[in-house]
Amino acid sequence: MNGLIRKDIYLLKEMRFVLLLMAAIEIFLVFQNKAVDFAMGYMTVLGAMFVINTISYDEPGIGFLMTLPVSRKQYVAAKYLLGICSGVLFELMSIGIVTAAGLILPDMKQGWLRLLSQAGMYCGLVILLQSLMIPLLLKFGAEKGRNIILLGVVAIFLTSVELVRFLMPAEEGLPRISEWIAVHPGMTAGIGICFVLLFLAGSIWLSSRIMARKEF
Amino acid sequence: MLLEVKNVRKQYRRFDLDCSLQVQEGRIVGLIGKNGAGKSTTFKAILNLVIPDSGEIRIFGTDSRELDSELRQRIGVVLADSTFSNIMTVKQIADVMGRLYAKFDAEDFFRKCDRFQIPLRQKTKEFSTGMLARLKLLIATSYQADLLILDEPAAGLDVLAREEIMDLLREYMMEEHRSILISSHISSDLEKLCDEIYMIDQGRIILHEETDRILSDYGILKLDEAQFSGIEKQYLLRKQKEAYGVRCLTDARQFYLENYPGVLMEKGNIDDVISMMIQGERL
Repeated sequence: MNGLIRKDIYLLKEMRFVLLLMAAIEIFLVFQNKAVDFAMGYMTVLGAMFVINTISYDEPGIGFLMTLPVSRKQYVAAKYLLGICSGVLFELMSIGIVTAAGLILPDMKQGWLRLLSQAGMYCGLVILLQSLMIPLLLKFGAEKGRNIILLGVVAIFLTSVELVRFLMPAEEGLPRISEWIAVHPGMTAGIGICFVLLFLAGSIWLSSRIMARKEF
Repeated sequence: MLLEVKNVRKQYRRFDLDCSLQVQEGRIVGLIGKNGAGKSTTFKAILNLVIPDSGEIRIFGTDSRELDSELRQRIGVVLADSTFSNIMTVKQIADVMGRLYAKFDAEDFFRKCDRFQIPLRQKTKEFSTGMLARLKLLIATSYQADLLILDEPAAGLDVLAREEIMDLLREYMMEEHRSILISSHISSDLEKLCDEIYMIDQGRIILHEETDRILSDYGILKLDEAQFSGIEKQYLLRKQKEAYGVRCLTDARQFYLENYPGVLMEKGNIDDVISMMIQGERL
């Protein structure tokens, strides 16, 4: 697996200019618009997309890759590991940028607890996104998979909104959820972590099954 | 036996494979057939890239689906249409190979790259077809594999480049216990290299023969109608109607040369044999 991760790192190296550009945009967003929340989320989502690129770079040679001395399960594991690591790395980069902004511009100073909880939330989000994306990309390929992911995200968003609206009246639903979260931050984090881990485990299981049955 | 493919079947909508073949230690075995005959599907089945509907594939005596990392390290593979991503350089590929294969010999690999003028720091997408073909083979032979499985390793190359590839393979076979299974649709390459040949057509093995026997015992008889009706047909494998009469394939050239000195006989080559086996009519 070490070899597979090394290969992916070489592939990601190709995108170093995109990475620099992303960092520049984030710095601009943080310093110019003071959009800390948006910048941290933006970096997370883009970071998650990096794993798509390694899968699409693999695609033309995937048959050959499957003849290397690694199992299909290891290939899947390498993609998740890389995805999670890249997500965490991007989040750390965001924390660095926001902290630097706080040192330069006093009104931008963020409390550590807030910053870390925000980073944790976005790390959870990146794992969720990748858990959704990786099986779809492995099943349908990068090109088709991207479109399906887009449709999937829209469908999940609309379903969630409708679900909340159905369960609780609009004028009191969201405020009530926010209130509950504010009163029970520990439990909210616990529920969130459990949900993310369950989703991740299900996604790894599904990806392994897809790869086990896939023909090249 | 290094490789044994036993009654492997794979059904597609417009094609079905039903294939058996063997590769013994120290042998070079060729799989020849026209484009679309089933060569690549056979290779993919052997490499577990397609899942056969039935049959058995054993490599080093182990079911091909059960091959662990250690056994996989003893197999070198060249696929016609896939290798490492073309945005990687040879140096990067070597680094990855070193982490995947315990016996990867970086020094020897770089020496061979130098010999074949393969640049180390250039992305492989900038390589010519010949350079890429040589690189794929150098990768497959860089970690002392016992069995090479090569699907069209010389496809799209000119005569000289193909000869270089064949030389590399002969070099690899200097060690006695090694074996190669190689496919090509260019018969002359296999004729010079292989100990035995399997011919495949429409997913079926239509002939399995020692290369030397094809070259020494097989022949094409050119007969007029009178000669054809009077000739012994026991050793004729196929016949084909021609303007002058009948063209026949035999695997007993000497028999007809001795007993029918008047008939026109051409020495067999793999092209003739495969074309007669596919297009000719069974007697």
